[in-house]
Amino acid sequence: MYLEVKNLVKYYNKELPIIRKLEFSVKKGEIISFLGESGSGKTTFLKCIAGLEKIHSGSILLNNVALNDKGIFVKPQDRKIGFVFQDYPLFPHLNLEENIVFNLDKKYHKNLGYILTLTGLKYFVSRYPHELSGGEQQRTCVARALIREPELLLLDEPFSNLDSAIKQSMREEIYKIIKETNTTTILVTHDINDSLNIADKILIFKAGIVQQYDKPEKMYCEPANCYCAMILGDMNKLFIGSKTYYVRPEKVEVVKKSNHKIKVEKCFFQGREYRIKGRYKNEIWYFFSKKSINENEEVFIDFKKMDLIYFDPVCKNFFK
Amino acid sequence: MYKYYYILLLSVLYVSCFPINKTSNEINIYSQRHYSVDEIQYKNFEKLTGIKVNVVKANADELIERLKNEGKNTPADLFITVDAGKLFKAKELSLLQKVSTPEIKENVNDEFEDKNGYWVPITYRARIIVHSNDRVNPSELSTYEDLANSKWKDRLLVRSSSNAYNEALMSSIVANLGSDSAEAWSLGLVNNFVRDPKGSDRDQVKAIAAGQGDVAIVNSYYIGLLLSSEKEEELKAGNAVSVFFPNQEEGGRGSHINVSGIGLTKYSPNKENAIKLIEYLTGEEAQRVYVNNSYEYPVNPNVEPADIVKNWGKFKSDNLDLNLLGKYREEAILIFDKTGWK
Amino acid sequence: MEIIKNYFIVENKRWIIVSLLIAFFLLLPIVILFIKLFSDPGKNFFYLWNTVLIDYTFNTFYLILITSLFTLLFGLFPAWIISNYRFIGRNFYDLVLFLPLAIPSYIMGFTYIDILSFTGPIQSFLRNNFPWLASYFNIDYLQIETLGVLLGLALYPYVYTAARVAFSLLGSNYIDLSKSLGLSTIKSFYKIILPLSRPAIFSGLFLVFMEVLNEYGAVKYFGINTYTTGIFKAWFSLGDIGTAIQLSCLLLLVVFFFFVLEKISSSKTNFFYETNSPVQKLLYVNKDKLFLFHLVCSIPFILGFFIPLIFIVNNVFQTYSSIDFVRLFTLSFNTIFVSSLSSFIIIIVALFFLFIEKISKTKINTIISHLISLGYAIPGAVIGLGLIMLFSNIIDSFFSVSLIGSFYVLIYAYVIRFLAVGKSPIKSSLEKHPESYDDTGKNLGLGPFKLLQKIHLPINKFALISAFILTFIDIMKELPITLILRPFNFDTLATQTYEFAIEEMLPLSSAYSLSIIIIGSMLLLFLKNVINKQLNVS
Repeated sequence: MYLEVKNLVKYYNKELPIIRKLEFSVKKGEIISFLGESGSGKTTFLKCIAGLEKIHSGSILLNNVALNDKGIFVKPQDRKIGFVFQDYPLFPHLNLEENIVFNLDKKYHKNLGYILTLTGLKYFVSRYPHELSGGEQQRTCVARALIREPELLLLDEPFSNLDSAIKQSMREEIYKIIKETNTTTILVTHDINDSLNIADKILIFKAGIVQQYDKPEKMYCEPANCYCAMILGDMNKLFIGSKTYYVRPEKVEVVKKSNHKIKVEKCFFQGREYRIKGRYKNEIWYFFSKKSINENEEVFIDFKKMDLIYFDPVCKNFFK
Repeated sequence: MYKYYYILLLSVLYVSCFPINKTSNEINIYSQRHYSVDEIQYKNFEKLTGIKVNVVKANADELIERLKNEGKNTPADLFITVDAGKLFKAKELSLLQKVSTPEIKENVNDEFEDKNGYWVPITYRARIIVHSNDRVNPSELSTYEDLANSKWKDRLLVRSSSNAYNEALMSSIVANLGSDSAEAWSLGLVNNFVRDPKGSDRDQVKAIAAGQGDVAIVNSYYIGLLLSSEKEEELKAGNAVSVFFPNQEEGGRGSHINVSGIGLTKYSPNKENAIKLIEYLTGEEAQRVYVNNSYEYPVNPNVEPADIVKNWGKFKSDNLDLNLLGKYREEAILIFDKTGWK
Repeated sequence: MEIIKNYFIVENKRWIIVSLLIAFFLLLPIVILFIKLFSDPGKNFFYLWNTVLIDYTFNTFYLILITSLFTLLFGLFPAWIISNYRFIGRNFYDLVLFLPLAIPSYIMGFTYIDILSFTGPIQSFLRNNFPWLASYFNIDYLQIETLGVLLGLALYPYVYTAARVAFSLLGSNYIDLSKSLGLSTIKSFYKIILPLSRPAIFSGLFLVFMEVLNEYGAVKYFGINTYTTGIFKAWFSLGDIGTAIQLSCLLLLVVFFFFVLEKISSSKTNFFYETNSPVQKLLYVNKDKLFLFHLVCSIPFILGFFIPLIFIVNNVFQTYSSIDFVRLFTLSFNTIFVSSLSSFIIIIVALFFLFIEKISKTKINTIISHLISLGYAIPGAVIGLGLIMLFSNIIDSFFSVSLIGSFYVLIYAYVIRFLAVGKSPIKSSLEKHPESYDDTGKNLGLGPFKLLQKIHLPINKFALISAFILTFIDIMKELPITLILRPFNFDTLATQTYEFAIEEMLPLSSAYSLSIIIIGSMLLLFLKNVINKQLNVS
């Protein structure tokens, strides 16, 4: 394994640890998406990896070298980890190129042309940060991290400060750049779309521990618990007997006739299709339809039995 | 790069702070006097002897504090004040040593000498009464004590009690009349004040000229300075008043005087040079410079006061032991506070 | 779970140790004072309390009250107008309104009393031309109220600058908003703008309080007994150092109270600034208001700078023949030398402490960083006393040399006294920059020293220049410390001005005071330039 995190514990307040026990590993060249709510300790986790925060116990190994272990602490400046912060901190007194080559080892200077082409920043090299757009600033930060060939790249909410219009294209570009340089990456985000679009694997982090760590498809279809299920998309609740099952909206089909009748409350036009909000046995359901449906109209729906997901009933209370 | 700043900084500090009291051909003075005439004197002395004179000027009490704390390490040779009381205080704290040479003895009028021999006077000044030419007839004036008389109600001007000249005057009253009488006197004075004590001596004179009051207690030389001013308005103010020497009556004790004086510090590192300077400053040449620049009275019997000052005539001065000014100082301050002389 | 809780894992411990060491030296004189306080209790405290102290304390508060009122009057309204309106002359006022900072308050006092005095130009003119009017002006100007107004003129730039920045940052959003809610301009000023900018204005006022409490030359000349007079009275007149120290410590408590008050008021309302855009539309002025605006903006400048300057320049011409240019040059050199060296050291020390506070994240450094600012609250002469006691009792007898009266000690005293002045612009600048600069720097391989050198020095360049200029001007004007601790034959422009002035030879002092004003004004104009540049860049 390329990156191994074992039993990582971190707290500011001993009663309420931010990271209780974190354990996972990453293969070389993989992009991992670290998914969690705002304030759940994602940034703290990245800072621990980068050495900007001290950990209280556990170990971190990168490329077979211990960065953090009992009695071992490698200073942040000696770890070969690239870190792209959420607010794109470019130094205001330096221009784009100076920012990228800031404190750069001589041997990496040869990368400059390649990185600039890759990030499409060639024509902005003499501009100052306040003359750059958000996307350009972000790419500069990525370029600054990648030029020193890091063994690990950490991206902290890289897209949260961007307009939705350029978000998608930025995602694609960053993905392309990372894959092209074959850089092992941890991407921290609270936005499921970031994870689904870029990540090779998703790690869902909640209440200080890992909830699930898997490929996106698998996670979507086989969530480990109701929290993981919810975070990846809407879930419709269904009671069969005394048990509660869930089904994804896109697995629900509108049919001519079935056992399940639903009353439509609202119909949202979404371009390719309509997203329907309805009420089924007092539960709010979402599903999709090719055709528009009037409010208060009643329609029949159906779904396959294999698409039903079951969780322990405690789960929902636990994550409240 | 940063390292060089650091080295530069250190070297600048080092050079600038080079030990000051290394060379021996110099004198270090702590002085309360900050008149430009003093600088002329020191320059002349330097020219004459080649001895460099270094001066720190500050408040006398602060300088005493500094002398006291420096102890044996003091660089100071001489301590100059404008009040014999402060010299007495320095002596009491054993900061001074006796100084006496035949030349000094000869230069200084016996009347002003320190009985204990710890300090040497260089000039003296009288604390006198000035009065409006228009509104006061000199025959109404007589003594300091008389200023407490209610006929001066709302006519009297004087500066604040924290001033050393007033402290010295009050000390002399305590020494001469006892503290009870001094307190009564102070109370009478306070009742006669036109306004709260404030400003400088010169401001009191200007206030008389402005018609705000009729009589004021001031130091003699300030009138000299006003009368020699280049400003027409100040000259007018000076001419609007006349000088009156109090307590000149038959058998009276005479007007209160005080000296500017020099003490030789106990641990003076350049004692010989320091004594040379004392001899020089009491000598005729230097005394003449004092007289003509600062309008003070000379302590050297062979030197005449400046012409402006001579016009006021000779006067009888209080021959109280000036050390008592220091001795009764604390009592004087208590009286000021008690009677509300601000 | 094994928790490593060990001193040895504290990051940057070498830096922290050095900072503790320097802080120790900065606090030493104050510590000595406190030791003295308990080892040698004064015997005259109750005597002073019963006779004069209440009176003195009342005077002090009264003086602070009047001065604050006038600083607010002279500072707030022009700041409001210049931050919000566009009119001919605005740029000029913006440039000159903080120039009175270059005039020491004692020069302001001496000059105005001379102007207003019976022999001064105003009364002479009236006597010669309008004799019937003259008697109304022939009054006693040496009053506490006059001093309050004059100190207001000398100190209003502190309030003006603070308010100017706050008003510009608030932006016109709030005015637009309150207008849409139906408030008139004047009402929105009182109801919205003033409460929102209160912390900034209060921090400006805080500086005014400190200046008034430490006022030395002017109050002495006016014969007004303030609390500080009480300290000197105990120390010098009664020769009772114990009581003087007791009084100083009491003063320190009062200042601490103000200090906490300021902290509380600013922490409560800090967040108001953040969400607003710094970009600000300027409103045009209609004609009937224009005259009023010119009046409001020009009065502080004319009274606080122009008139004293003209009077001093006039004196310089009149005494031209007797000016000793060699001496003037030497004293100017002395002043510039000692002020710039001390300011340089101060900004290095201030930056050092603020940086340690930033990187260490331990509580102790935050506390120390606050403690070392306390020197600003102690009267200069008391700091002088502390240093004299420190050096004479401990250091000098140990090394058996006399350091008192050397530049070391003088600069040492300046650093203790004015560290807070240099600290505050650097502090606010450091706080403006995001934490992630530090993290990025470390992540890109910088150690603490390089972080400071390569990032914080350049990005806080303007703040460092501001800090340098502000401390420079303060030290240039400083009197009590310079008087008591200066080396032999060492005069500055300030001491020379003061000596001439108290010896009642004001015209002779004019060349020296003019030099102070010129040096100060040039630096302030340069500073204004720097601030403008900074606003354009960020």
